[in-house]
Amino acid sequence: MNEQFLYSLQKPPRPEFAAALLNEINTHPSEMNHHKHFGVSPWVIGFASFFLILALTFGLVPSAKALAIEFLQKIGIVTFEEKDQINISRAPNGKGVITITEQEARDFFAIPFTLPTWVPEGFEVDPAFFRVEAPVEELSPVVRSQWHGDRGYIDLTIVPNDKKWEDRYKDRPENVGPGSVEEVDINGSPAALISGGWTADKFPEVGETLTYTWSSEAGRGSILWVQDELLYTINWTYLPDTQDPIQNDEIIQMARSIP
Amino acid sequence: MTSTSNFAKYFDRATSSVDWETVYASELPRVFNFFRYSVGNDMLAEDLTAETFRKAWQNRHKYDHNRGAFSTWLFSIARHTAVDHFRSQKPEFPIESIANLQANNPSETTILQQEDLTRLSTILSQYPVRERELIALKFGAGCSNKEIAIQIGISATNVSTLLHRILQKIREAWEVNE
Repeated sequence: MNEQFLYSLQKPPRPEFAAALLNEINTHPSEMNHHKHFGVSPWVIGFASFFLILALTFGLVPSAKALAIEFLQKIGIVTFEEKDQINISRAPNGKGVITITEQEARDFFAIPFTLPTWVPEGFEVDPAFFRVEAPVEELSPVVRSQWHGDRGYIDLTIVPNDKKWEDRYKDRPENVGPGSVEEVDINGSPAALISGGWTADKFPEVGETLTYTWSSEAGRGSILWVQDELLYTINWTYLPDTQDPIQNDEIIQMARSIP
Repeated sequence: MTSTSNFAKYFDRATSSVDWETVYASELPRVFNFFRYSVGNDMLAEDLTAETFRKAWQNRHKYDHNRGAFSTWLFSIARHTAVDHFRSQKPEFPIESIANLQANNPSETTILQQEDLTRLSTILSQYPVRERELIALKFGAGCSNKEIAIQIGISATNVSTLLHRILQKIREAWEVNE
């Protein structure tokens, strides 16, 4: 009897059991069929990242301000402030996600959109994640798709570059960490590439206010640009214990592959 | 600051997201074997595994990746589930599991493996819960000493020392039973 013998007593769970448990969880009545992530609904991820990127795009480093203002005036959305820390109050979860096919999304969306023709190795599109999402204020529709891999996931959000978004966010400054963005070129358009995010010592309860600090090592990032009257946002998150984090260059290549 | 609050509250929630299906595929076998080694009974291990994942799902909003890997959080739920089970049950000697396997016409290898697991479980059932837990985490869930150290709040060196002692006890008990 040795250690190898003790390891040899492992066995996989029965496939019927694994499938039944997964099915039970996926169909549980308590908000389970609307999202696939712990602690957050998909539309929240998309909008949150979208807001972040807009803020970063338009309120950043002085040397980039001219381009940012031009970009801001073009889509007329938000202003922002750079801070090291902010206080955040957690609100209840939102709703409003409709899972559809890609063709249904194209029928629903007023403006034709295109998807990346290249994604990082090991990532596959999640066909169940193609969605039209309606924010609570009935803003413009949002289309989202997602790619999964062993290293994490990559999420693409597309919204029309229209006046509804301008009106919604033009008077709402957003806070981001200092020096967390750089400008890159995506198919001839200026794009904001952001690394990092707000972090806190704990996850807040609903209604609780916590102080958050910006971290460039938060394990996530975003890139945003306008192309053919559409505002594209790619967000990526790599799994906390991955040995191979998603690289900025991979995301830039993915963004540039959108025809 | 209204806009800041709106933005940040959404973003905060986004940062703590974990891909459920990836987690399920990678962690289900580990949690299942953690319970198999803890209780020595496949059917009971399935029940406790299901209970663990239900709890994880229901409390997923409490997970904060800034405080550790998701697997660490998941196994803390599994460990508490195991402790609750041991508190609510008399010591088990899961002999009936062999009969169940035979009824399903398993292979000889499977039966022998189950017999060994039952024998190991019988030996472990006489040890403190902490020692059973160490064996289940190490050899059932396949945790590293460092992962176990984080789980139970001692150093990796202490984990190594404790495992060495427990393994010695198991070897002696195993030989006595042969």
